[in-house]
Amino acid sequence: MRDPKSERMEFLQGTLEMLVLRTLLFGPKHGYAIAQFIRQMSNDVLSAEAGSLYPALQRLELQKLITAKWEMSDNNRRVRHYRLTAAGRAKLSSSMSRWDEFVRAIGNVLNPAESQE
Amino acid sequence: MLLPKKISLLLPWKRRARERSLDEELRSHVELAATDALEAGATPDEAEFAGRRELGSQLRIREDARNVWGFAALDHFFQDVHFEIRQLKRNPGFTTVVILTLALGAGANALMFTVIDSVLLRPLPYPESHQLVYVDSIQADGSHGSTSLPNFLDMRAQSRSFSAMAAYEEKSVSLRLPSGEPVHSTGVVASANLLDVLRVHPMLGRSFSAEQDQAVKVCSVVLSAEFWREHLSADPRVLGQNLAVDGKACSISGVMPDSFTFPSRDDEFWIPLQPAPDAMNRGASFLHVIARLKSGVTLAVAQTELKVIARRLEKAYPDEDNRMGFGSQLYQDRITENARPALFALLGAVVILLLIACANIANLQLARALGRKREMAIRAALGAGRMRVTGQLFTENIVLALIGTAVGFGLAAGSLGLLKRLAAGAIPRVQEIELRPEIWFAMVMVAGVSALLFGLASVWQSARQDIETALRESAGAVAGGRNQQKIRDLLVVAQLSLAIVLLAGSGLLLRTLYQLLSTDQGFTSEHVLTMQTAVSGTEPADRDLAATVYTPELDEIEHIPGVKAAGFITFLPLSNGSASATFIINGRSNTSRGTQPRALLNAASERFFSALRIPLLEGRFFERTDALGKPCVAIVNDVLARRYFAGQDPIGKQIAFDDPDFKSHPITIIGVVQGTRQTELAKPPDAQLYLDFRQVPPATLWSQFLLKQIMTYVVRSNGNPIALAKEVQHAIHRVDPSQTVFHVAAMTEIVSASVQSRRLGAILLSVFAGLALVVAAAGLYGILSYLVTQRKRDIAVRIALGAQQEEVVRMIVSRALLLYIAGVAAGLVGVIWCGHLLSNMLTGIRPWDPVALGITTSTLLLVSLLAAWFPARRAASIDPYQALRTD
Repeated sequence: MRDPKSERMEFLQGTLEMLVLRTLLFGPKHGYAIAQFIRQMSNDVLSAEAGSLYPALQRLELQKLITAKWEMSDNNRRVRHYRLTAAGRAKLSSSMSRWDEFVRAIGNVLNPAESQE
Repeated sequence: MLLPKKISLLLPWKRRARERSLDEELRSHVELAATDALEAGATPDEAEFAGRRELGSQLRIREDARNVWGFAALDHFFQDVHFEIRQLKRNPGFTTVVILTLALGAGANALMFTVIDSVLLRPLPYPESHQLVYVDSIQADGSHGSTSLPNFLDMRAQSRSFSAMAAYEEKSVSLRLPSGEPVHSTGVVASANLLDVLRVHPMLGRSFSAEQDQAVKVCSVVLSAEFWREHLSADPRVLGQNLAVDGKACSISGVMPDSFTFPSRDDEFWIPLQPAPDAMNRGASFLHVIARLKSGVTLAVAQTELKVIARRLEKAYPDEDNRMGFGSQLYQDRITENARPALFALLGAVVILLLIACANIANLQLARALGRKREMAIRAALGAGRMRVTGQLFTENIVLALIGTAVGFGLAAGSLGLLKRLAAGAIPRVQEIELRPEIWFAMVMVAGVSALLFGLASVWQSARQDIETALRESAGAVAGGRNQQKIRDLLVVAQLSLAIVLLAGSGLLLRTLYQLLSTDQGFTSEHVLTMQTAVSGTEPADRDLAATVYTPELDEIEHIPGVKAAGFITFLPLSNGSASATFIINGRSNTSRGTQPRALLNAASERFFSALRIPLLEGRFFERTDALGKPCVAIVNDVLARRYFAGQDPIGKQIAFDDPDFKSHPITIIGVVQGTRQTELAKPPDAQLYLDFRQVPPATLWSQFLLKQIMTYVVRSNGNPIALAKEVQHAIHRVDPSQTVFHVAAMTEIVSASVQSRRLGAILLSVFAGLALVVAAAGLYGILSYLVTQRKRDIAVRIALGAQQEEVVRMIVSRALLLYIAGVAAGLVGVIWCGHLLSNMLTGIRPWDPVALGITTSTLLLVSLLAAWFPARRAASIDPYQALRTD
């Protein structure tokens, strides 16, 4: 079994926040669940380390893109659930379209032939 | 939208709640991870470890999250403050010196800020006081003075810039209370609209009404609240009752509020001006004028209009109003103008004192920074950023500055009472001086600025420091580079040069004061008793007071053993005012459009001149034979003789007053005396004219003006004059029991009181200069001691090689002299500037006064040598073996 860590990638500035917002799009989640979700969805390539996840959550909360509330989880555990706010939703859609643009632009530079078709 | 949440996080409890929440969240993260691991088949121990690993460094996460909240700067600041307070506690000597030095500078500043704020900046206690304007008359010779009643009435009728204009005169009178009790009091005689101009109304009853301005039927009086309480037991039923003012019945119409004073605090009553027909003399100026600008009208506009009115009056009355003008200024400026230059000079002085204190602290800080070089280097080595280290130094300075300023503020608050007592009579509005919240604000600014000033050097020094060399240096070799030595020298030179500026300023003021007190006043004040008296005012108007009261009293007084001479005078020099009048020189055509002769007028008794030892230069004094009905005689002073009889013998010349009461009586000049300084010591004598008091025609404006009001007795004794006071009083009461006697004082006290404001300025400046001298000397001492410590090995080597003690002493002392010379040279510019700034407070002394400058520079030299002496002695007594053996 290969060590997943070696294949993991660093987050670009601001991408972690975008992923967090995307993760919350389908309903509230707590911090650990957010980290798990990101890891699973990226097939273990991306790992939101607690060391960067929690400061990111604090930042988003201060910017009022998400709200947080202490609630009981399904298995009766006190957890802090994060929810997307209207502002967060708007921010997510704008960052996603910017991201698409960014990826396309990178792609154009890396593979000029394909883009000229 | 971001701000409110962030700001709420500044609150400590919000912040703690937030931290607890974050901790709990991180704990739950660990648990969730551990549960997952268990489910994946790990042992409980492995699961817990996995959870922990999942989280990473909890501390680090907390730190990062807190940075997101924006607490880092704040946290560091509080950490620094805590740390600094511990540091300062550990170093009490340093801390005490810094705080005391700064407290002196800051305290002096707080004191002067308070005085300037209360006296110059706060509006006067009248509604819309910025509209109040003081108008005076400008005489042909350019001097400003009071206004005559006809000129006032014309000016008021013609001006359009003012919504109201009132004339007033302060008066000292005898009052008789409704109970019949006689009281001496000072008050104001004013046109009936005075209180409307000031917009202050009685708290009880009403003001005197406007029609009384013209009609002389009933007199009404408004009383001060204090007088009402003290003499009428605050009884509201006194309204409508009669109070006799100088024998004339006036009904009490109102009582003013407690806070009201006008124009001075001593005034206890206000009565309407009821001019006798003969007061309508356009040449008799005795009124002050206060007016209120219409809203929207500027002082400049009003002044232009007053100029036009003056031209018009000059054309209409070419004799009396020749080359006359009106001057105007804001009333607040008028009452504070005399104090203004002195207060600003003192403000300058305290700012300089603060600068010296800051320079001194900067030097102390530099010395201390050397000792902490390794501490700082270790901090830097352990990863403290440059900003963090600088921030810590800055915090330290702020903490010191705030504590020092707070102590200084306490000093100022404590000494305010003393200052107010000293300043009574010397500074206007003294009773209004108080610490106000603005001063707190100003003091915080002072703290900030001084922290910046004395912190800059050490911050700069630490920023330039190289960690490695600092760590490698041995503790004994904390030398500080050449650069640092230069900064420290510069700071000491700055202190010395600022100190010499203050010393020179106080030297000049003290010299002026000394010069004034030793100047030829025109009279001899030693052994002279003075007291003022007022007749009860109930005498019949045509009673000849001179013959029936004053002459017998003077005789009685002269019979008292110990009395050498007794006389009296209307206006005593340097005390209760003066009056001037124009006159005509008989036989000289008055058609010339030049100015009419004018002189200060006084009624005197024959022995007045011997009582004050005013020398007779020519002719004779008054004699008993110069009685009423005999040819009128007058004595003039040398100034008048020179001014109006240049090249002629004034004796025997005749003059007259252009007034019905005197017109038929020519007055013959019989004597010339030396001029006295009448209004203030700084002013050379003006033309003076003395009439024999017996010849003032009774029942005229002249007798009211010169004889019936307050008279001052002048008694020369051959011992302590005050010891005679009781006997003289008895003598007066033997003749007239109802006469009031007040203001008993030795003439020397009166002379001394007349320079009270100058004395206050000189004292305060000397105190500040003295403090500056001490601080600067401490600075010099500090740097020389440091020099000795630093060059201990060097000195030890010299001594070991045979240097004599004197050589070592000479080395240190010459260093001190070098710094002293540099300081004095640098301060010279400041001294010149300071002299110019003070020039209007100097009389008879040039800003370059060699005596004052000589004394100040030698004082500083002496103190500098003293400051050098102890370090020099220490250097000379270094034991070379011991000094060279230690590291």
